[in-house]
Parts: sequence; C-alpha cells; structure tokens
Amino acid sequence: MALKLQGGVKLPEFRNSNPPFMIFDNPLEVSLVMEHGLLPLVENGDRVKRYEQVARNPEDFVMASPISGVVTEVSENFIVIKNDGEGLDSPEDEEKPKAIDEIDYQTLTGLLKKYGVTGAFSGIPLYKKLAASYGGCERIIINCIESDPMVRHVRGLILENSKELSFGIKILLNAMGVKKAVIALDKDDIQLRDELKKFFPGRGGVVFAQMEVKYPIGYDRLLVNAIYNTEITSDKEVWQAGYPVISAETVINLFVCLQTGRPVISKTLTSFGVDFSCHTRVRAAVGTGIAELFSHCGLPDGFSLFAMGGVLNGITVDGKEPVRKNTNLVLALREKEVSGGVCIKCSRCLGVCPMHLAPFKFHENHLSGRRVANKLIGLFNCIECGACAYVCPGRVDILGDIRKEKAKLNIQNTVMSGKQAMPAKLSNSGMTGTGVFNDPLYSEDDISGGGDILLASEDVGSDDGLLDGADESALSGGKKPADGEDKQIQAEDIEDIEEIEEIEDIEDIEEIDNTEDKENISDTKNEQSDVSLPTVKKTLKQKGLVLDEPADLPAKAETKTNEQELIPQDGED
Amino acid sequence: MKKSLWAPFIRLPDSMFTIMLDVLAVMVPLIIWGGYVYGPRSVLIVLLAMASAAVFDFAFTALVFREFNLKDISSLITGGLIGLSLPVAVPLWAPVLGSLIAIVAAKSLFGGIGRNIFNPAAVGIVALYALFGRIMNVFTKPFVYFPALTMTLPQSLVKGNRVVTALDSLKGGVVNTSAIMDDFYGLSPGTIGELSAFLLIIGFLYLVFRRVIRFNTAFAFAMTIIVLSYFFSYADCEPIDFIKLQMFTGPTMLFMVFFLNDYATTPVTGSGKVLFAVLLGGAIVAVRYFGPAHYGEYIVLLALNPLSPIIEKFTFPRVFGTKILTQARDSL
Repeated sequence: MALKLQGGVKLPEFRNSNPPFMIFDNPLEVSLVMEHGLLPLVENGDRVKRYEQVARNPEDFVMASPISGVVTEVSENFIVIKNDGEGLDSPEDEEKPKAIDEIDYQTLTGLLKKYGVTGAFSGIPLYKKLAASYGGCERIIINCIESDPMVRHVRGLILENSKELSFGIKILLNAMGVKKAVIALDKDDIQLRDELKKFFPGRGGVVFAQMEVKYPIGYDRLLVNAIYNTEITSDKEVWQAGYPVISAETVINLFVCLQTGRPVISKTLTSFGVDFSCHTRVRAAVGTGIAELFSHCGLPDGFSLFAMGGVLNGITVDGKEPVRKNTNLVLALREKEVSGGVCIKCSRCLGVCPMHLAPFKFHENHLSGRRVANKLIGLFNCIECGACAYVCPGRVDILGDIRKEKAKLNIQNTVMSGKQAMPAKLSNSGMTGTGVFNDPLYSEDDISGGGDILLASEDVGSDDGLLDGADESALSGGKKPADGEDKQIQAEDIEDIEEIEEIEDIEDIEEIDNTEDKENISDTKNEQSDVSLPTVKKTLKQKGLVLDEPADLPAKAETKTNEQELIPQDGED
Repeated sequence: MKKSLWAPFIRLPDSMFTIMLDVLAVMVPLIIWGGYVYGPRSVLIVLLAMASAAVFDFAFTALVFREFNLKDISSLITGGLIGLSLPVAVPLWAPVLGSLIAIVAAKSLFGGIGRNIFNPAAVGIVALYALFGRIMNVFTKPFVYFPALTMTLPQSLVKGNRVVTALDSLKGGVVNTSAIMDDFYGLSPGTIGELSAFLLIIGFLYLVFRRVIRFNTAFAFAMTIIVLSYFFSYADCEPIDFIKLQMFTGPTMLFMVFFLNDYATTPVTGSGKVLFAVLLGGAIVAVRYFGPAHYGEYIVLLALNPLSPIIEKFTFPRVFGTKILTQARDSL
C-alpha cells in the first residue's frame, strides 16, 4: 500500500525510458545568480580558479566558481565568468573531518556554508533548513522522488551514489541529534529500496515511505501530508514545522563535499526537448546557459524556445538563463501558435488540485479583475504545480493567470507596506495598462530574447519562486518583494487604491484566522500521536508486516496515523 | 504576434472537443431509435434543431464576440437536446425556434459557453411549451410515420393517431403496469429522445466510463426519485411499478444523462453536484404530482439552475493547510 495523495494527476508513464548520462562541466561562460544575500567578492577582470570563492553572504554562505576563467561582469544579480580554458583548480581543503561522529551540528553548518550546499529542489541553503529545524524535529525526510514526470536524473543519481547518500544521511542524523530518517520513494521502486537497505544493516534508524506515483507528490508539503497526515499551514515552511524535507541529491552533495573538501559547483539535471528528442541526464556546471547546455546535448533544429522548472509548471526563459543549484529540468520547445482557452466549468481542475483550491475561480476573477476575491479564496496557497492547467479541456492558461494575479497582488502589497508614497512613482511604470498581456512575466521580450525573465520576475517581487520548486513557490506567497521594485509599480487608477484599503482590512482578519489554524492543526497532530507503539506493532502484525524499529526510539516518534503504511526496515540480523 | 507557450508543455489529450464528441456519440443511438419508432420526420426534427443551433451559435460568436472557433461544437448538443425533447408531431419550425431561443437568449447573451446560468436546451423547450403548449402536448402512436417534409402536419392526420402517454394517465392516478417494459425498451409514446431508457442507460455508462459525467451525481438523482416514489406512490399500483414508471417514462433518464450533468449550469463541486441532483430529483417527483403532465421537469430544472452558484459557494473544499472555508467568503 502506497501512501496516497489527494488530488494530483497520474501522468503517462515515461519511467521506462532511460536517458543517457553526460557530463558538461566546462562551459564557455557561466553566470552565477546572486541569491540569498550573496555579495560578490571579485571584481571585473579578476582571474578565478575553479572552486574559488566568488561570492559570500553575511552569514558566510559561499558561492564558488565552477570554472577557471576571467570575471567579465559583476552586478548585484550576476557574476559572469568567461572560461579561459586553463582548467586551474584552487587547492583542496586541508582539514577534512575524519569520522562521522566528529561532525556535530556547529561543524556541519560551518562546512555547509563553506561548500555552498543548497537544496537541490527548494533552492534554500541547507544550513538555513537545518537551523530552522534543529532541536525541533524528530525525523528527517529524505525525498528520493522524481517530482516532475520528465525528470529522470534523481533515481540514477541515487543508484550510482547510494553509498554517498547513506553516509550523508548518517552524518545528518548524527549532527542533528535525530534518531530517524524517513526515505520517501516511489512505491514500485524496489531496486532503489534494496540498494539503500544495504547501507543500513540492522536497526539503522531508517524507514522507507513508499509513495504513490502521482504528480505532484514530491512537493514537500504534500509529502509530509501523505506520510504524517498533517497539514502544515501556509505561513510556515515544512522545516519550520519540524519536518525537514531534504532531497536526496542535497544529501549526496553534502557527503561528497565533506569527502573531497570541495564546494558544490555542478548540478545534475534532466534536459528534455518537448517532442522527446534530447532527453538526457546531464551533470552541468552551475551557471551554464540553457542554450549552451542544449547544444552540448545535441538538440535538433527547430527548437527556438527554452523553459525551465517543470514540464507542467515551467517558465519560458531566455537561452542565456543559467542553470542554478535547484534547476532540475530544462526544456526546449518548438514555437507554436497558442490560442486562448475558454472555461466550460467542467470542474476537473477542482478534482486535481492538491491544495483543494478552485483554480477556475482564479481565472474567472482574473478576467473580471477581482484581485481581492482571488486572495480570499487562497491564491497564495497555490503551489503552482500546474495540474489544473494540465487537465483543463478548455485549454485555459490557469497557471499563467494565477502567476499574473500573484505578481500584481505582490505589487499592491508593496505599495501598502508604505515603503513609498502611492502616487509619486506610479507613472514611471515598467508596465502599461492593466491588460492581460501587459505583464512583465509574459512580456514579448522573454520570447524574442531581448528581455531578462529573471530580472523581470524579481522586480515584481515574486523572486525565483516563480521559476521552480515547491518550497520556493510556497515561500513566495508571503514574501515581501525585493528592493528596487519601485520602478515596476503599475500605474493603477483610483479604483485600486480602494482595493488596497480593502486588502488591509482583510489581512487583519486573515492573521487572526491563521493563528487559530495553527492551534487547531497542532491539536489534531497531538491527537494522532496518541496511538502507542505496541498498538501499532499489533496492527502491523495482524497485517502480516513485521515492525522492526530501533528499540531506543521514543514511542512518540513512531506513532502517526499513517505509520502502518510505512514499510519498515527489515532487520538483517 | 508571436505568443509564448504556456506552462503545461504536455497536456491531457481530453479537450472540450472530445468531451462534446462523446456526448454527441451518446445521442446518435437515440436519434436512430427515434427514427425507427417515429420515422424519418423525427430524425429531421433533431437534425434541424442541431443545425440551426450550430448556425445561430457560430453566427452570434462571429458577429458579436468576433471569434470563430470551429472546435466549439457545444451548440450541437444544445440543439440535439432540444430536438430529442420534442414530440414528433410538432411543426418543423419548432426545433428552429427552440434553438434560436436557447442559443441567443439563454447562452450567448449570458456571455457564451461556460457562462450561462440557465440550461439553454431547457430554456428552449420551456419557451416553446409556454408559447405553443398545444402543439407540444400532441403525442402520437409509435410506428405511425408522418411525412417528413410537411411543415405543419394537417390536423386530420394527427387526430386519428393521438395517444395518451403514461405520464398523462399518471395525472389521473392510473398506471398501466403491463406497458412498463415497453417504456424501458422504448416502444411507448413520448418525445423523440426519451423513448428508450435502455439506450440511455448504455449511453450513461459510456459517459461515466469516459469520465465525462460522474456516477455519484446520477446515482444520487436516481436514488432520490426511487425513494420519494416509493414513499409517495400516489398511483393505483405497487410502489415498485410506480418507481419504474417514474424512472423510465418522461425525460427522467434524459435528465440523468444530459441535463443533470451540464457543466455550466450545475455546481462545480462534487458534493454540490450531489446536492443539486437530490434537489432536482425531489423537484421532479413533486412537479409530476402538482404540475403539468409534460415538460414540468424542464421548468423545475430552470428554477434550480440559479441555485448552483449558491450551492457551490457552500460546498467548496477546505483549502489545504487552512481551517478557513475561504471560498465561502467569495462574493457571488
């Protein structure tokens, strides 16, 4: 019995395809994105070696250069490095930790910052996740699920690096003082499970959670919900609620970095031409442009558009858009005419929405311009998985409408928060009018190659949450826009000022509601954990399953409603 | 203008077009059966309704909305339903007028597909019934074929073949139990589409299999009618026969397959659909007792259609990670 996801879509199976693997670690040019407060350490014209630190944030989180070359451009958002072809490496780290037991929490976070280990799916630096959950969690969830139907690299990566993964898990458990790791994987992936089991002989403190093969179960909120039957409120992330979900690739990176003493400079990802050409697994240097990556993979002619993110929720980007540390899928698309769809209220989007929203309402309110209503019905709870648009028989651009609405509401929030006087800068707007297609995200520029989609999306204040990942998109909900958005404030008319006042009122109400939620939901959580361990054992035995858990675990940690469905680690003794 | 591709770069093959084709496919056996029982004139009536509905719809969208989408064949379904809901003896202008009212007044003026509040086909039928009730209530013997191309059938031709339907006699509390199987297979008099409950059940199963309509909704509808008929069986017969009569005669099955599952005019939520089905089932049993013998079902459907946004409003699911039924706060 696999753990189920309510809603979601079962996509056609492409799992049998086994794309070839290639390494592309020497691109002509890389551009490194300055996220998470990274500040450049280099200047224009500097020569850098591979693995050399080029940026650092105030908390000492480091970005390393993936190639040796010359810095050609330094800005607030980018560092561009041109390859000089010499392939010089900066020297290895001398002090390597010897044994797993030596690494405590402080050492680990120090090393994670130094090596720039970032969540391979969320894009959040790992040290931040660990800091938020340190001392407050009973388990670590390792996500081995290929979240997107086209992503094919995760499974292969784990199979090839099962040793690294398991040692990484052990380091994490030891450093965090946590007894149990829950490895979430696809329900029919027996091979992967057996491979990982080898490294946890006896009572290794590892439980396998076998998940239904359904999109988007890889999203951390839904994963936690499927395993533990807890709904984490949208105002906090899963790791803040005591369920740190860490993707397998991140753990592998963690171990490899500690082993080699080198920072993370590459990202394994899947490239996919939408007519099934060029489906490859690539290990690419961070910062490689998508177009260059595809030319390396042998993309046939006729593909003029690129996208990254996911096959259901990606965003079309410029060919120069760099690979990031959380890029999992890059797509090449053929240009084609797309006409607007029409909603026939078939209610299929309601059925597949994993967040139990009514996506067609967002489209309706988008057409009628009722933004406040959109916020009320949970616009910011949307994780932008794209399942609604996938099933839509009317071919409505629901996902696009949701993103536009989010971007516009973010602008209004900024105005409200009083950073600047309302009327002063409104005329100097990047956008003109309130029309559907006059949106910075969907400007023609991002197709014709003139614009920079990244800048545009940051300016409207949704940050990279628009690009990829569950964590990010969920995060972007509550996030205040980045600095420098003042130019992008739209020339709204007086109606909007009224709307804004409305929002202020509504927000107060929502805050109160949210606090209630938290209490209620935590109540339910406690209720669920009332089942005692012997009871669970008994049920499992009745079902013919043998429970073989570490004896030293506290009983509380084992008692969740869905625990019967976790496939316990079979002891080999 | 170049347009960017939208985010789902792969899509489910099901589209509006395939859904509409599935529904049309269910209508085809009904039309053929109607042709077998009532002759070519019945086929002509249905085809006239469909063709005129399509013409009115395409003309209106092209002239008013300035759009032209050949793949939007929903008007064919509206027209087909109007044709199937008419008796064979109506003049040939009736299906055309019904389609005109349905498409223009009930659909296009509300903003086109997906935005209408009232079921267009039901509006067309009710309007015809309200305006020309006399011609709508003429039901004739099965297997008496009228000339297909005569605009208005001469009174002499119709008079000798008029027949009392099961619903008519039910108004007097009389049930002919021996004819119930005829009702099921489609050999008793009625409108063109409602003849064969058997074919409608097959079509229903096909649509459920294709996931165009939901089994739950129809089940709730049927159960409501069955339970209410059992307890309020006012006719002079066994309750089981009364239940069979309620289910197999008149447009009950037509409602179960088509009208109840219209996307735009019924609630979008699953529980809302079930609630709507229960209300409709109850209303149909009631209107057969209190209201006219024929076409009362369409009137109660129109009365219930405006309730669907309100039902929706209170049946939207709880948003993940919140305790608020935020949907309920959305103003209508």
